[in-house]
Amino acid sequence: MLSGIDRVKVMHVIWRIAVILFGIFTCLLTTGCWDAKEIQDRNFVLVAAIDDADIVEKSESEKQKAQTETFVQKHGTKEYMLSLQILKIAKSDGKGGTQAKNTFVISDTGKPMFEMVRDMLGQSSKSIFFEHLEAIVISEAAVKKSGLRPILDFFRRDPEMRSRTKIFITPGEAKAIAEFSPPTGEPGGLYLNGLVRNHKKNIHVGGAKTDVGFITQGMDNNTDYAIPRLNYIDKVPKLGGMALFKNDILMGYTDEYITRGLKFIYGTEKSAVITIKCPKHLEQEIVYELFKHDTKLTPHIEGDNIYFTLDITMQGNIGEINCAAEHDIHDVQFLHSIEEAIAQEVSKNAQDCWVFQQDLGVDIPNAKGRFKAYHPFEWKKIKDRWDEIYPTIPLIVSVNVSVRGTGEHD
Amino acid sequence: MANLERKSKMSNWQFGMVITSGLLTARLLPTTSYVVSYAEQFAWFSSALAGLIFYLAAYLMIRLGEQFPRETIGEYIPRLFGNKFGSAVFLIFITVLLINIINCVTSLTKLTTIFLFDQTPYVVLVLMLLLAVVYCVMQEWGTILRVIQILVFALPLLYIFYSLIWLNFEPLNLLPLWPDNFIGILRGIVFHTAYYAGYESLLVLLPLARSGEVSFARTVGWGFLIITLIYVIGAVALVGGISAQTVASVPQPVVYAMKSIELPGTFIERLENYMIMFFVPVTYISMVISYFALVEGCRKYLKYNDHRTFIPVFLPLIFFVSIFIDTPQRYDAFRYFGMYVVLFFSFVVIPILLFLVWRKKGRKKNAKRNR
Repeated sequence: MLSGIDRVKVMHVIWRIAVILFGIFTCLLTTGCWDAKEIQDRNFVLVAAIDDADIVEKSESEKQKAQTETFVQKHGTKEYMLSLQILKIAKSDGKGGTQAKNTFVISDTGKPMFEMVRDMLGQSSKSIFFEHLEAIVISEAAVKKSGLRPILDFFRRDPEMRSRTKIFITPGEAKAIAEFSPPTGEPGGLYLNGLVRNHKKNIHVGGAKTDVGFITQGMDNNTDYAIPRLNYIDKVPKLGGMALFKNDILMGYTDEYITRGLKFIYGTEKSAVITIKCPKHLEQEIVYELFKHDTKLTPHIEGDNIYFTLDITMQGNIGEINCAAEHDIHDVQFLHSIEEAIAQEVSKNAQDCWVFQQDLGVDIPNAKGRFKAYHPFEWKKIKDRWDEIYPTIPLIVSVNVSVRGTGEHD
Repeated sequence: MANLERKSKMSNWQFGMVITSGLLTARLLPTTSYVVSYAEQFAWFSSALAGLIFYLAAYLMIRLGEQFPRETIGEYIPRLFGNKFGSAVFLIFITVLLINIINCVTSLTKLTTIFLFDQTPYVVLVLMLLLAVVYCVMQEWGTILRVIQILVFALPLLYIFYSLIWLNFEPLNLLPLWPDNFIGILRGIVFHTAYYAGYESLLVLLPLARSGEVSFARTVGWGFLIITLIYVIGAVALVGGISAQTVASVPQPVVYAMKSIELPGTFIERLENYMIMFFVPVTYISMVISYFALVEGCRKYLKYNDHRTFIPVFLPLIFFVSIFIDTPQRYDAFRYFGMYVVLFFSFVVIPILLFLVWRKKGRKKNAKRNR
C-alpha cells in the first residue's frame, strides 16, 4: 500500500519536473522571433531615383557598367533606370570625418520596379529594405514616358512602403541626386526629406500634400496634384516650384511666384515671408513675416453663373524694411498702407495662380471636389461639362491682413 | 484565491459585456473597403443603421432565449418542433459560429502575415492562433469569463491608437453631408455582418447568465450602442482621413490610414503595428466566445457532461477551411457565403422560430383557459 502511494508521488514529481523542463526548453528555443533580422543584416534604402533608361547620358565606361546593372528580360522593355541610395551601416573609416560618404548607390534597368529591386540583390549582400525610404526622385523624362502611375505603383502597393515618403520631380537626372552627398554629412535621403519639411517657412516650396499618401489619394479621387520640383545643377540641389499633374500626366511646372499663389489658396505656410514695395519708396521693399494664415475657398452659384470666393486672413510682423530713409512704423496710417499693399499683392498672386491653372487645365486646389461637396445636385447637372466650364470660372479674392508686430528695433 | 472553475454563472451586465466584446474583431478590416465602396462617405450612416438592425436581431434572439431560461437553442428547438427541424436549425447555428471563428482566424492571420510576420508561413500562424484559442476554451466558463474581462481592456487601447487617424482629418472628404445614395448605404449594411460578429452565441450563453434587475436586452443594447458609436465615429475619421475612394481602393484601409500618421517630435513610429497587436486580443475574445458557444451548444444538444469532448471535433475543420480559403477568390466566396448564412439565420430563421414559439405558447394558454 505504502509503496503504491510512493509510486504515485514519484510519478507526480517526475511529471512536474518534465513539465518544468519542457517549459524551460520551450522558452530557451523560442526566445525572440525565429525569423528576426538584425539591422546590420539589411540594406536600408533612403532614396529611390527613377530615370528614363534611354536618356541618361553615359560615357563608354558607364555604358559598359549599365550592361552589367541589368538582366535578361523576357517581357517588356528596358524603360526605366532605378537607382537606390543605400545607407552604409558600418562605421566609416573616419578619415573624412563628416565628409565621408555614408551612402552608396546601386542601379538597375528594366520596367517593373519590383523586378529591378529583386535583380539588384545581385549587387547587394543584404536584403533591400524600404521601410525607411525618405524620398523618391523621378526624372521628368521618366514621367513623360508613360505617366506617374506605373512608376509609383510599386511604392503604393508594397506593404513595406510608407505613405509619408516624399516625392520629387527633377527636370534633370534623378540618379545624380541619389548620388549627391550633402555637405552636412547627413545621408542624402534625410537631407532631401528635410528640404521639404521646411516648406512651411519657404513660400517657394510646395511641400504640403505632396507625399506618396496624398498623391495616392489624388490618383484614387481622380483629382489633380502637384509635386515639388527639385533642380540639381553642378552638385547643387535646389527645391523650388512644382510639377503639376492632371490624370497622371505632367502638364507643366509652376515657378516660385505661382507656387506662392498656390500656397495662398491652400493656406499651408506658417511662417513664410511676403515682400511688397514700400508705399512711400516704391523702389524699396518691405518684408512681411506671416505667422497665422487661414483661407476658405468656396464655390457659389448665381443663376447660371458659377464663381469661387477665396477669403484669406493673415497675421504677421514686419520682418525687414529696405528703405534708406527711416519710417515711423508706429504711424497707424503707414501700417494700414502696408497692410493694404500686402493684401493687394496676395490677392493678385492668388488670381494669377488661379488663371495660370485654368490656362494649363489643372485644378490643384480641387475646385471640382469643392463644387461637388457644396452643390451636389448642381454638380450632377454639369459634371460632364466641367472641363469646359472650369477655365471660365472667376475667383473673387478677399484678403484681410493685419500687422501685429514691427520687429525688435525701430 | 478564488476558484474560478467553480464559477459557472455570470451576471446580466457580464453577459452584456461578453456579447459586446465579441462583436469587434479583425474581420472588419478587410470588409471596410466593401462597405465604403457602396456607402461612400456615408459609411458612418450605414454603420449607424447596421447597429440598429443587428441589435434588433440580437434582441429577437434574447426574446427567444428568455422563453426557455435554462435551456440552449439545441435543447428547446428539437423538443418543440421535432428532431429533423431542430437538427436543421442547430446545424445552421453551429455553421454561423464556425463561420465567425474561421473568418476571425483568416482575417487576423492575413493581417499579421502581411504586416508583422512576413517570413512566417501562414499555416504556422493559423495553427498557433487556434492552439491559443483551444487552450482557453478548454477551461471552465468562470476562467474563460475572467480571461475575457482582462482582454477586453485591449479594446479602449485599440481605439486610442485608431483615434490618431483624426490627425489627418479633412472635412471636405465627408461632404456633401446629405445622403443621395440610399441604395449604396443599404448595401453597405449587409456587409456589417463582419462588424457585428458572433452575437449569435448568446443563444447558448443566455442560460449561463443570472437575470437581475436590468434586462438582458438592455445590457446587450448598451453594448451594441457603444460598439455602434465606435464604428460611426471610426467611419467618420477613416473617410475624413484618407477619402472614400482611397478606402475603397485598399484591401486594409484602417491599417493604411494608420500608416499615414506621423507624430512629429515623438519616438513612436510604425503605429499600425501597435494597432494590429491590439487587434489580436480583441479578435481572440470573439473566437473564444464563439468556440465555447459551439462546443457548449453541442454538449447540451447531445447531452454530454463535458464541453471539452467537442473541442477536437471542430478543430481540424476550422484549420483546413482556414488554410483552404487562403486565395483571394476563395476568401471572397467564403466571405459572401458566411454573410448570407448569418443574415439568413438572424433575419429569417430566428424571427420564424420566435413567431412559432409565441404561437405555440399562445395556443397552450388558450387551451388552459378553455379548460
